[in-house]
Amino acid sequence: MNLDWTDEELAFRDEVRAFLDAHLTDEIREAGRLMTSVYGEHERSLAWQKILHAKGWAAPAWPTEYGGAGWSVAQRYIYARERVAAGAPPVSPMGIQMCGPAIIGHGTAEQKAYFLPRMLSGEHFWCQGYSEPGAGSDLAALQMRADDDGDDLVVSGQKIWNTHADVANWGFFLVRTARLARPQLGITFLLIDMTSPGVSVRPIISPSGEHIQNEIFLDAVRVPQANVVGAINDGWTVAKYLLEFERGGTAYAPELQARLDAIEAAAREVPGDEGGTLANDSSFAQRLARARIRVAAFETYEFRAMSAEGSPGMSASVMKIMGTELQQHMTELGLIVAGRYGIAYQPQAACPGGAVSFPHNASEYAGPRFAAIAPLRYLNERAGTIYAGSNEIQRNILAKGLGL
Amino acid sequence: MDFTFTEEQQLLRDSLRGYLRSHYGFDHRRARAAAKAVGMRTRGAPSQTGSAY
Amino acid sequence: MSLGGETAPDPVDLMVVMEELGEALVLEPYLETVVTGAALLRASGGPTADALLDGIVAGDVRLALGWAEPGTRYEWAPQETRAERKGEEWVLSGRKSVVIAAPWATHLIVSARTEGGVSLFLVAPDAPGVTLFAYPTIDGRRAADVEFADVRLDADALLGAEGAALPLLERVGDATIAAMGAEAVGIMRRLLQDTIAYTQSRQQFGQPISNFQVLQHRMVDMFMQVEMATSAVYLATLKLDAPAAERARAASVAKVTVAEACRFVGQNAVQLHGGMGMTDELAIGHYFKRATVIEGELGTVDHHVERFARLQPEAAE
Repeated sequence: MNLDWTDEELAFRDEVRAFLDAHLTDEIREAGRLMTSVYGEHERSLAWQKILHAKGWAAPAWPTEYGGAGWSVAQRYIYARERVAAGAPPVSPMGIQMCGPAIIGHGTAEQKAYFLPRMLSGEHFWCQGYSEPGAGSDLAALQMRADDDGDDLVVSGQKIWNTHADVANWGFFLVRTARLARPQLGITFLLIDMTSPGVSVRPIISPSGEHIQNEIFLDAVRVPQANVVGAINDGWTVAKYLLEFERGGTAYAPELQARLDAIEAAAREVPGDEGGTLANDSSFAQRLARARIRVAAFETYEFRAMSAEGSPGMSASVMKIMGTELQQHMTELGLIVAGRYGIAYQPQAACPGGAVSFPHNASEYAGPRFAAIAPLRYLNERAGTIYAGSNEIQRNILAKGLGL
Repeated sequence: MDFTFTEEQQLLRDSLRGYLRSHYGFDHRRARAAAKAVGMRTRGAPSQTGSAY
Repeated sequence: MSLGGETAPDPVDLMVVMEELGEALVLEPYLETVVTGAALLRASGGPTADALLDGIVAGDVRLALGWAEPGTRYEWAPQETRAERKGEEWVLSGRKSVVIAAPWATHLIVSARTEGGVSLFLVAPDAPGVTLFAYPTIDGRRAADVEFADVRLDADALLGAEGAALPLLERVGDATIAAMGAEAVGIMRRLLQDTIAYTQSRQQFGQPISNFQVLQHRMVDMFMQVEMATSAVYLATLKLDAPAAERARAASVAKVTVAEACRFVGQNAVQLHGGMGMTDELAIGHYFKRATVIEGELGTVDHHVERFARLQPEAAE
């Protein structure tokens, strides 16, 4: 038992560091450092994806035969740590992290050959169509229907919470193709061209004023049967595979460590209550130390989960719950550091994940830059414990795992 | 990075667990906790109680 | 398992043993003797220490460390206990508070201020001038307040170099925190298992109370706390050979995480056992009491948060 990286892993870390150093422009770094949510600004994060793609690093977890980097879990962890430390934005997870593995795991040879290269290059930008107004935590209650019509399926219905659907040209959807004994049966996993006639997208503005989320309305959209992934009526199997990947695919600690450092650095720049900077205030120092302690224990948990063989199982849910709760805690600390400037609405000082519609100034801003980002992060991060299977659903999953 | 136990450590765990299960049940533990003769060498109360407590 | 020199137990071996001792709620002073005491003896070296290490393996020697005093809290440095050199001998005077396992011990290790700093001495509990005021602790173990009234000690009672004990106590203290954390992990696993089993057997409103989501989620939160504590104990154990500040920060991570888990898991195990959690008859209450003791031993949560904040990490690799 040991906590050391191997020589190969350390060499890999140096290689990643050198690559990030050489290829990250100031503009792209800004998109990472000034993020207001888990989503990078679309244009710049896509530009970064193209740089990564040229190196063969766009898809860390995919096997090399499909154009992935084929990295081990440890290498992916090291990459994530270096990436956030260097301030690079994340690549959109919808295609490469979520739809890609579904196609790799359950797609046909034709689907793999057509979709995977375009997903990597960014030519296809993906959105997810799972949730519906009446199917959130109870996803299997989804109603969007797809009727068999010769070579096509004809799809009608509504989806909601579709990240970046306004800029996506492809979407992966769960649709109902049959009404069978259990709601999980009769669901089909379907790839839909978002430029098809009958597709319309309506924005949802978040409490932070950002347009990242959308609703999608499909009105008799014709989709070739060839776009079904897996078997008709067996989409739940594909979705479960993907959900597991979505939950277990991300380590939270690298981002959390970077957040802690940013919070501490910002606290050194603002006045405290005890005559020095906020970082020197004893109560703030204790809060920060407690947060660092929680993250240190959690990071070791992620190392354990990463080193364990086999499917992620319960650890995926533990990571989702603890990771998002800690991320929310980081945003609470951020608000403390922001102080009174934390109530100023200044998204122009940040790099939001989507267009901002609320009234705000065009470029200049008041107060420290950190303070301009803090409230947006706080507001947006409330979503962390809701999306990707709410933390209450995750606790239900863990209860089952405990035999309850 | 490695979080696996060696074979020896696994063996240590199994044999100790087996021993404790057969020789250190809850009643045994309770009896030992309640034993009056615990080797106390007592000569009265301390001269002064501590201020910190 | 041998305890001397090169064949000293690996920290991971000790972690395995302590977890099992925790799960069986063993009373005997293994932690005090084999973890803390043996590590101090090993670091001190010399024929006396070697003989005692052999005695531990033979089962003849049990140790207790007197470090805290009525006038100190969690810092390792002694205040009123002093030892002065008188010719070939040392004369020890002062008091130690809540010396765990002292009534069971064949030998006491006592920290004292000497001319050169802080030193450790080996003291026989029945030596003239030594007085034990012994009492049980809430977890069914034994402890004592110990007074030293001009206790005359031979020259070889000094363990290690004179004045060099403070960094040693800090290092062995961190090793003790890691091992005690492993014991706590064993205890908490048992508390969780018993709670799951109890809620599955207890019927109310015509069904097992484990069917209720509010109880399920509570047990899931207990499980997650046990997992965080386990992880923090691994961290502290695997960092025991790291540079001092890094080692100490990892130990504080473990102490804080374990203490908070002990409180949450212990209290909720009692809560979910309902009235049965409030009797002395079930094991649950006894595990809860040991968890409560561990929670505060070798520094409270606040103490270790403060220590963690004070110790700056070494420059990044």
